[in-house]
Parts: sequence; C-alpha cells; structure tokens
Amino acid sequence: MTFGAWLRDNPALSEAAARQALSGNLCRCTGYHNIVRAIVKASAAMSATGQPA
Amino acid sequence: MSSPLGAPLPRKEDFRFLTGAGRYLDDIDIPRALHACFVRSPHAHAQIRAIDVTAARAVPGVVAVVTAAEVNQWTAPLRMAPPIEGLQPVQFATLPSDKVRFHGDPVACVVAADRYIAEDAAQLVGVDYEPLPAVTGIDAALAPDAPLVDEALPSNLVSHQTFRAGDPARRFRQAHRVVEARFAQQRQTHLPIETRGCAAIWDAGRRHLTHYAPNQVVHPLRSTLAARLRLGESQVTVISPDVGGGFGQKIALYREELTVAALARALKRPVRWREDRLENLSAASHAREDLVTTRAAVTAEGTLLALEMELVEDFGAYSFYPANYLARVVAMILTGPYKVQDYAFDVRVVLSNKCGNGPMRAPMAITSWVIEGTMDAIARELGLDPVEVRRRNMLRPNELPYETPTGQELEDITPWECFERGLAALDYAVFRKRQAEVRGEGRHLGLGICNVVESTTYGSAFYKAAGIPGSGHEAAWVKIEPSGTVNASVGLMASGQGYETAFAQLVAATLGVDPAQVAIHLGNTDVAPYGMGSRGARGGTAGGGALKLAATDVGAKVLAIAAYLLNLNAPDQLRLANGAVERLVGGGWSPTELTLAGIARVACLDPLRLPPGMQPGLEAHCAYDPPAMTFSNAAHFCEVELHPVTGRVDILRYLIVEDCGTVLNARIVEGQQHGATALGIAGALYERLVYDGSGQLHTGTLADYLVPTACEIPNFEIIAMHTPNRRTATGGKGMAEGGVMGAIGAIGNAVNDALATFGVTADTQPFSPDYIRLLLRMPA
Repeated sequence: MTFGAWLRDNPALSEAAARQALSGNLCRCTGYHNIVRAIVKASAAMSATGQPA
Repeated sequence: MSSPLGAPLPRKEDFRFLTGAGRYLDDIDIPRALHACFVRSPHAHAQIRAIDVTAARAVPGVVAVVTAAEVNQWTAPLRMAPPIEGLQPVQFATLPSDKVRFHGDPVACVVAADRYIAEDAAQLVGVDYEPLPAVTGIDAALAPDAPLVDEALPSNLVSHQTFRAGDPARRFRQAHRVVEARFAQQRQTHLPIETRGCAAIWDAGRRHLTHYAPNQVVHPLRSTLAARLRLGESQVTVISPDVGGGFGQKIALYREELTVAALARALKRPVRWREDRLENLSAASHAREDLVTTRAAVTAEGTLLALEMELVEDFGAYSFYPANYLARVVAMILTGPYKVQDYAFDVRVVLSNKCGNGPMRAPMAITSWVIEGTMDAIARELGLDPVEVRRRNMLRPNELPYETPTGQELEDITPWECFERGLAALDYAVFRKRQAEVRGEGRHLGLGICNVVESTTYGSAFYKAAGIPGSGHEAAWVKIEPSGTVNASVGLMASGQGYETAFAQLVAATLGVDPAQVAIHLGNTDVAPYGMGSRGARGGTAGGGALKLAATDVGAKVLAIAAYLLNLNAPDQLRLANGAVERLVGGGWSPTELTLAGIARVACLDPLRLPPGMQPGLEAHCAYDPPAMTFSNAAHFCEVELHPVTGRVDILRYLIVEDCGTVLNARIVEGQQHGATALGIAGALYERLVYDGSGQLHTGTLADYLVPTACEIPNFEIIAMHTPNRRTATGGKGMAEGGVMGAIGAIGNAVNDALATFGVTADTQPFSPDYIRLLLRMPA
C-alpha cells in the first residue's frame, strides 16, 4: 500500500531509493529482498507503460 | 503439465495477505468479548506484600480484577521436570503470589468492557512491593552468596551437563598449539510483528472452551491448556488464525493466555487479550545470551586434534522449556562438518531476574560462529589461510557417513561441495588481492566464511535419547471429495512459511493433480490430526512426510478403483496425471476415459461400483516419524567494509550456497534463506536487549531495540546445491534456521578479518559501532 502511492509519485525508482522508502516498514520474515525486487520491477513496468503495473 | 514439486509457484496465501484480507486474531469479531490487561512488576525482584484491587474494581466498565488468589485456584501450576541428569526440576504457579522475578512479571489481570478501561484500571491496582537484590548476569547468578531467583532450588545453576568423547587430555598434550577463542552472544527477542494474544470463549452449556491464539503448535498447546485448566482434551478446541510471525515465541502456553482462558470460564464471558509492544519486548520470551569459550588442540599445519567447549547461558527467571534444551543442541552439533573425535563440553545454564528464555529461530544459532570462529582463530595463531585450515579438517564426500563424537550420524550432506562451490563463485584469491590493494587506500575489507551444518528435524528417537518427553512425529490426512477436489490437513501451523502452497504442491505431485485442486487446512485442533506442530525446521520433512504418505495411500486407492473399472487385474500400469487416469501402452502413457473426478464420484456416491469389499470414500490418515535427526548444510560468505573512524560495518556482498534436500517450492525456500539470514544479520550487528544492574529493561521500544530495516539488509546471492536425503519420505532435509547460524558466523568472521590488521578481536555481539570503536581505542 505504501508503494501504490509512492510509485505513482516517484516513477523510475532506484533500488537504493526503494530501500530508503521501505525503511519505515519493519519486516521480520522476508529480509526485504523480494519486496525490494518487486518494487523495482513494478517501477520499471510503470515507467515503461506509464500505467500502474 | 510436469510435476509441480519444487516449482516456484506464487503463494496461495498471498492473495489474502496482499489484499489486506488476512484473518488474524484481531480480525475475529467476538460478540460480548471483554478485554484483558495485565498489571506487571516494575521491579526485577521483589516480595509481594499486598495487592489492593479495590480502586480498580470500582472503575465503571471493569468486570473483574484478579490476582494469584483467584487464578491459581482455577489453574494447575506448570511443572518442568524431565528426567535429565543435572537439570533441576522447577515448578511455578500461573501468577506469582509471593514474589516477582523480573521487570514485567504479571501480578494481576484487569478485565473490562474495552481495552482503554482495562488499561486505565490497571494503573489503579496497588501492589506493595519489598524490593530484593536482583541477579542480572551470569557471574552474579553463580556467585556463592547470590540471591536465589527460585527459592526451591539450591542455587541459580538450574542445569549443568558435561560430556567427554575420546581422550582430549592426551590430545592436548600432543598438540603443537592450543588455540583459545571466546564468543559472547547477546540477549535477543523474537519480535514477531504480530505480538502475542488470544481470545477465549467458554460455552457454559457444553462445558467447552474455544481458544483462539496465533500459535505454531496447536495440538501440544491444547494438551497443556486442557491439563492446566483441569479439562479434558475433548473440552478444548484451539484455533490458530493467520499468524503474523512466530520465530519460536508462539509455542509455549504462557501465563497470560492461561489466565485469559481461566477468566473466560469463570466469568462466562468471552475474554480477549492483545499484548502491546512494550510487553512483547519485556515479558513475552527472550532468547540467547550465551558465553562460549573453545580450546582447540592443533598441529602446526592446523589439523584439529581435540576440541573443548564451555558454555554458560542466562536463561532468565522462568522455564517454559527444559533449561538445558537450547544449549544442549549447541554442544551436540558443535563440531559441524569437521573431523574430530576427541571432544568434551561443559554446559551450564543459570536463572536470573530477566524475562524467561525460549527457543528463537535457530535456538543453536551461535553454533556455527563458535566452530567457524575457532577455525579462524586457529588460522590467525598459526599464520595459515583460513580456507586451508577448513579444507584440512572438513569431511570430504568419501568420508560420509560420519558419526560425530556426540553420536550424530552425518550422511547425505554436502559441506565440501558447497564450500568449494562458494569459493569458486566468490573468486577467493581475487578477493584477497583486492583486500590488500584497498588497504593501501585506507579501506578495511573483511571476508567471513561460515560453514553450517543445521540440525533440522528431530525424530522421536532423538527426544528419547535426550531424555525429553515427547514425540517427533507429525500426522496428516488427505481426502478426495466427490467432485475430485482435494482437502488435506497436517498438525503444523504456518506463521508465514507458505505451507498452503508448498504442501499443496507436494500432495498434488504425489497424487497427480493440479496444485490448484488441493487445499491445505491448518491450525484447528478439531480439523487437523494430532501432530507436534511447527518448530525447528521440521515442517517440510516431518509434516511433508506425513502428507506424502497419506496422499500415496489415497492415490493407490484411486488407481485400484481405476483398474477395476477398466477391467484390469492390477493398477501397476496406471497413473494419475493432471487429474486423469493414464495407462502405459507400448512404452508410452495414453489417456483413458477415467478422471479423478469420475473415480471420486464412484467412491463417494456410487460405492456399489467399487471393487468387492472396498470401503466407500477416498481418504487416508497417516503419521510419520522422521529419522532421529536430519541435517541440511550451507556455506555462507560475507564481504564487509569496516569504517574505523565510526565503527560502522557495511555488508558489501552476501553469498549463500545451500543444500536442503528435495525442495517443495523453490521460491519459498529462497524466501526462507533471505529471512533467516536477515535475522542472523540482525543479531550479529544490531539487536540487543539491555538490562541495567538493577534488572530494569532499557530496550522497551523499537527505537532502542534495533530491528534492521531495508537499508541495513543486503541483497542475497543464492546458489542452490540441493541433493535428496535418502532416508526421509520426501527427500527433504528441512531448512530455515541455518541462515541465522550462517549469518552470525559469517559476519562474526568478516568483521574480525577486517579488524585483523588492528590486532584486536571482536568477540561480543552485536558488533555495534560503539563496540568496534571501543576495541579500536584499546591499546594494541
């Protein structure tokens, strides 16, 4: 949900920026790895199409 | 379609979790439910002289305020007394009546119409305490005149075991050198994002309790809850809704849950409780806090002749588990992938005035750091390359199976292969060259290596040998409904592992159907068969084994029916694939007119067409007891940069090479590797529970207890080297704790590799900036 809004306002997000933006959410299970990958992938898809992925 | 086993299918659970439709404890509406709030001790150790609940009871909306006086009448005490030599039996009541033993110990419970009223009224409960001196560390606990945490014991030494195999003393006399190393691991806590909680509903007419609680082991929880409420197991249903993380914290029946259940029965009203974050940090369950020293007898070439290990653990105030349980595993598996037969250990566990300890993801987390840090210490003292020292001592493929000095049978593991594969992927020689080059520029890189042999699945034979009552089996049922859809259940409970997906794949692959046709039902003791639940890394091996056996039985019945309907003598040339029956014709599989749905309809609704004597229905219930112990293995490699001016440690690269056996879902396995390694990094660099000398907890918020964010945890490179275990039902070996062990050791060793040029050794985790600076300020 955080990144629904974030990606709308900040397309073409770098991994470092995604990690910074994600730092307000603690996660104990995932190690953040796949969440960050998903955000970067969605960002690239939205940049390419101009539409929410 | 090809077999779904191992495929990285998206998780079925994620639809509800990602759309905000998960159903956690607080999502369950319970009409007329009251809310509980606990009154907790502000002292680490104090006599309770009197408790005055008058003012709290007078608050409008308060229904009850209870203390030990009521609750201990309604419930039986916990007695923890397995027949283990050197382990003191302990017993304690549900709420303390004579004294409190840690900062956060519950002394009273307020039940009110809502949580706000309950919290406000809790402030009005007057407890008259007489503070006692507190025991807040290992040395203090063992001092001859130490105050007793538990007056029923002769001292605070609650457990002490020693062991010797071979003749270490003789080997030490023969040694070229004796290398000593020290490892201190801090107190941590599980910190599930969802804290503890429960909701209890007493049906006065049926005399039946329904207890909702996020919990990893619903059946053992029901057994304990029923016994302590003096009810029969048929009078209690435990239901675990979705669980927001467990990590071992959601296994035991805690005193708060028992109090809430007893209150629901006494008040004949549903009562619910949700722990807040301060309570979770201070009073749920803690873990670790071990001090380990090793002495290694070695040759000039670095061959390990003998190993001695001493461990002392601070277990806190209350034993919800046998106090030797966690430390014992460290000692049992310490030698890991290395060849050594002369081994001795001395393991002591002490009580202190802190929150009680329990198993936290990788209870034996320190093990790999201890043995791999010892390898690095040997290399440093002898001026050898740490890789060469490991190669000299590591078990080669042709040396397996290997019985360790504690009697663990290592077989079907691949430490040598994973270590060498990782070294090649890393290009070890190139790293050493680069490390030397950048040191000239004032940059301090370090490489840490940690080979992990992870004890995963504990079979009944292990428990028997360890003297711990209990079973290592797991149970499952599989039913094919009249439409051909498949329902299955197992005694485990998920707290984020994706069981509903991975086990659907396993059942689907065993039967020959689409995983979308298989639903896995978990966490309800009226639905699931009695199993030991989710702990350690047993889910895939023990639970998967039981499900596979049940699916195999049902599948055999399906094919027996198919053979009869096709007028064949035997089903041996039939199979189920993608929900349809196929027949082996001329060396290839050809379709028949039969489908699983058709056979299910016959079996469930038209049983006169079944083979003579066959029972109607398609269901099987199986239990599976895995081997005494299964092991996974991995090699972790971590490259760090240490900043001497600030003491900060950055992780530049993290590589994991792992063999965890046959995989059910490759994506879920990778997710477990990420999460476990992140938890290890959290312990190695950041998290620490701090008690002061009077036993006050100073880390009661997430501003003080530093859980790493996305900015601290690196990306992970993973190389899968999975090979099946030939002795388990699925070929799986279990996994998901080794990452914690690997990260603690890899970071421990990487930081010390970077510190080596300064002539100091870091031996106390977490390796925080202030600790690194402290080391660097010390005169060399």
